[in-house]
Amino acid sequence: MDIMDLLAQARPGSLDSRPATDRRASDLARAIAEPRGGTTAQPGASRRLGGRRALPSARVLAIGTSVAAVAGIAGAVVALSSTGTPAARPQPTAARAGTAAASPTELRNAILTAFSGVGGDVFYAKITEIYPGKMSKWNGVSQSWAYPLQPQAGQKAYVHYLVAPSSPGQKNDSELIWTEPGGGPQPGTIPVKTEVIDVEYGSRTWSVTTAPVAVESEAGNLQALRESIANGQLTVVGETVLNGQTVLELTTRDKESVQTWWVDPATDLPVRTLSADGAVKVQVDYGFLPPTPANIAKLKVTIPVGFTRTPPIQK
Amino acid sequence: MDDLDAIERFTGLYDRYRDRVYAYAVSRAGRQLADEVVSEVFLVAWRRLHELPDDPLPWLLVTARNVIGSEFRAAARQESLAAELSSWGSGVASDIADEVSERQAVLRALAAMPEADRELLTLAAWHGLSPRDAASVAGCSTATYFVRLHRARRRLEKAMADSPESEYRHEIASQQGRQPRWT
Repeated sequence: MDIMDLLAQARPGSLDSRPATDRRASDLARAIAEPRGGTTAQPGASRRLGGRRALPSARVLAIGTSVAAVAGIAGAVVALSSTGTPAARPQPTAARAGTAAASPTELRNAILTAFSGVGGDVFYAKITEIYPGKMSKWNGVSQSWAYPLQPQAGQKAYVHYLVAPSSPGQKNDSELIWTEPGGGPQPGTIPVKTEVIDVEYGSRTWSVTTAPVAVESEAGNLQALRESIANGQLTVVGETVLNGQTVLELTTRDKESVQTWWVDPATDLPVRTLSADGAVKVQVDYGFLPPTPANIAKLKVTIPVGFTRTPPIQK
Repeated sequence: MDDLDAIERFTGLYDRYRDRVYAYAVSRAGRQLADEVVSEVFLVAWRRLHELPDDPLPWLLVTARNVIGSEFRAAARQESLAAELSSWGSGVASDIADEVSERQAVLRALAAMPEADRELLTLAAWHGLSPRDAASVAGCSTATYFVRLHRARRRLEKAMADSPESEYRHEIASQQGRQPRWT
């Protein structure tokens, strides 16, 4: 039996709330006696809550950032043009570093060098999550586009998330536009004024909201990929063909996890990564796209004909 | 939203999610403090009702996490939690059914794990959160969540494998050396 199944079966009864009618009444009475509104929150509470992406202002972000963050555990790249075919990128400076003949150290350096040159790209990730058994309800494919991949302080940043879970009613398409703040402790921890265009396929509605949102660019995912290459034990498996393209397969291993990478030898950038946590698999296919008008247009959501505009998400 | 609408929405929220928040509070702070945590969480929820997302459970659990971390003295929290954890591994004689013994063994192993590991494991196994929601409650990206959960799970398996009373050790032993399958 899987350890998580065993743990689920061992859930203690003490977690089940005992009947407490008085408790309920006092909770409700106490709460409703309090004035509502952010200005009345306890000192520190709003600051503490406001910075968390799972909290109210980040409703859309909670979808977007978490999906995008998965890219950090898998990962892959194909430099795609607007037509979906590979686009030309500058050749790597390290001569033939991205070949099976390269040593792990040469390959590591080549990939890290390639990563350092993509900060201004349009970044695309297609994330495929596959869960076993009853968890398969969480299966889904998500896509994200971000520009620039690594926004600088004061720069306008765009992210587009298209989440398509196994249940069609949960399909969500959203676009976020903000100005990257400077000086924060960590990207994505400071709520900034963000325009959120949200399309909900389940209700056939869409909305535009401008609100403070703790939005995180895709730079965090790039950093995660970089760290995985920089710090993991890298093993070159060899050349293989993926979707008709010759790529280099390698693995990165840290103490307790292994990630498989397929790297384009022409760019030294990953085309795909695959991670598995037990029976859960996460595959990500990436594109590092030049910021052409056609590629930047991918940052825009499409509002289907017949969808109804609704009031902003908040208020 | 006028006050009547707000009260109606809040009451519905409370009725639907109180038990979930309570379970999380027990697992993180013990029964002694759980009621107070629940009360604080819903007080914050009331104050910020207009900001609650459509699926409020992760928001409520993050708030509970913050309340537990900030509203109680560390000593009081540790005392309450220690009492809770010790109750998980006791109360059932080990010579009853193997299955019951196995459950007690996993609870004892879980109770002995670092708090961060215990939170990740219970978010996944007991609180029914999706990986995305669990990651947001734990305050990390989904990617980090997967990695941390994987490691926590391995540590729990090792603790079970080291437990002389656990049948699970035999299952683990048979899996040693097996690498993840990549397909």
